[in-house]
Amino acid sequence: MRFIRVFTVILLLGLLMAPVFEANPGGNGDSTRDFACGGACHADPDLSAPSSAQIVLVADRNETFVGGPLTVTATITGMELSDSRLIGVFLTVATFGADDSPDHAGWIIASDPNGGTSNYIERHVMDANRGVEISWALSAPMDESSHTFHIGVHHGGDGIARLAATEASGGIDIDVGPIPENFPQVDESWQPPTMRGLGEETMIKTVLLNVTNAQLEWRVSGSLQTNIIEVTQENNVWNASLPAALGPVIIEYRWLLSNEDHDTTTAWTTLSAEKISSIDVNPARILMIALAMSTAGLLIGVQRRLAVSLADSETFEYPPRDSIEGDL
Amino acid sequence: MVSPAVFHVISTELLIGSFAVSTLGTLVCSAFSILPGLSLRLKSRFGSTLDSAAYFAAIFGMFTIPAAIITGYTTSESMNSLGAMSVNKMLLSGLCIGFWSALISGRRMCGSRLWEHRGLAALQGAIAIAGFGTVVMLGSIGGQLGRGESALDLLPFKFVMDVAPAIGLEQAIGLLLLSMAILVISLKLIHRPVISSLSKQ
Repeated sequence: MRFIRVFTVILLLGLLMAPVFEANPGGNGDSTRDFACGGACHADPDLSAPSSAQIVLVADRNETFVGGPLTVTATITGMELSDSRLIGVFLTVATFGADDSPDHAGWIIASDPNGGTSNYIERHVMDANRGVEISWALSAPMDESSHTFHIGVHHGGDGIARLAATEASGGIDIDVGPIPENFPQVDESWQPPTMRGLGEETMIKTVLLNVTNAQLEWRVSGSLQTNIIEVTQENNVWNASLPAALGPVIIEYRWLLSNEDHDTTTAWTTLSAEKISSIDVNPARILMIALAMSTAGLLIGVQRRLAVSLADSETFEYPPRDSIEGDL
Repeated sequence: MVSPAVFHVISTELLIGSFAVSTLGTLVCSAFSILPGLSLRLKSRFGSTLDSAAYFAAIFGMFTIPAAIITGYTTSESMNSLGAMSVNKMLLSGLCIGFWSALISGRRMCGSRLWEHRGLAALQGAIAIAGFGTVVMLGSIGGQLGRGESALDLLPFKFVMDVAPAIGLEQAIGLLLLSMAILVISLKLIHRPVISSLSKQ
């Protein structure tokens, strides 16, 4: 009988929670996702409303070569905002919603704007008029081909889900051609760092091919001012050191490569500095329990020692007041 | 269609309100106990009413702590803000639970006769201040995380909340075992006095 009661309570609680968790107004986290993800809310005409978001999509080049770099930048403004002020942005290579993330077409995301390698990222927008500018650094597929990049945006506003995309504007077309002869490039095995802790100087080290001169260029994300770092070469390995971040600032960097025939750059790679890069949450959880138990234990022990006199004593520390008023 | 932040606001408002009432009641009762002259001009039931209100509010506040922690954690995760300040919130939550558990335990053990003992009354008042202090600091960190500012910014000194203590898993487990030992000693080895609820008055 008791089991049935408990089960009934749990069932009722579960039913009460169902409408709460049917949507994800707090976001789903950065990940590799197709644009169809979240479509049940954001693309359903019964559950969603049009978006006022304006999307400007640009790339740092119109063509690249197999395995070559590409930086895609989207500027999104004018969107409605929910209380959480969160928007989710997709970079896709098609608009049909399924299997449209760049990896399905052979593209490799070297860095996303949040310091990861996801085609779907989430950002908090403080001012819709200023909007948000986000960039992805990519490596081209290993086959010669043509691709069209699109941006999709999921967000909320006025209590309803909203969706915007570059489908109407046509996106941007990128051709992937053959590698030019003697073209300077980064070794394809290089994985650029995209995350670091505060106060850490970051060493960028890689093998460069067909390169006679190299520099590392960096800028604070969103800034037009760039800085050049001279690099050192040991055998075929090139090294450069990015300055430490004293706050949770995001910077972007790229190689400037040249030889006697060509000058080129790599894609802008995003490097995030996180406050918690070295924090493990599990010890903190254990410490929380330990603090609760030790604090309570110590104080209860002191209380018991003090209360002994209260239990044993037949007389009170303060003489009882015989008046009606003022008696605690 | 409601974000975790909304539930966090609800649970924290309940928590802070409950503990504010409990702290005020406890402090007034402590003051009456330490300075008996204060209560001489008040109605006889004023103190006992405050005592009961403080006790009930503390118990109610304790029930809201898990809700505040869970909703706070889900809010931090959804905002990708599980940083040093969130870790400090966890630790302060532990302290908060410890202080308020001790306050409730002391009041339950002694009943309303607690206020007849000056030392216990002073300790109860100190626990209430410490417990409410942790609640205020928890709220301040929440304000920093949510709005980038809090009322504690008005203070002439600054609480360093954006640096979390660096502690390893082994050290944390060691401290957990130590705290378990402290709790067991307090509950099992220190005699729990039986205090009659009837005052000799």
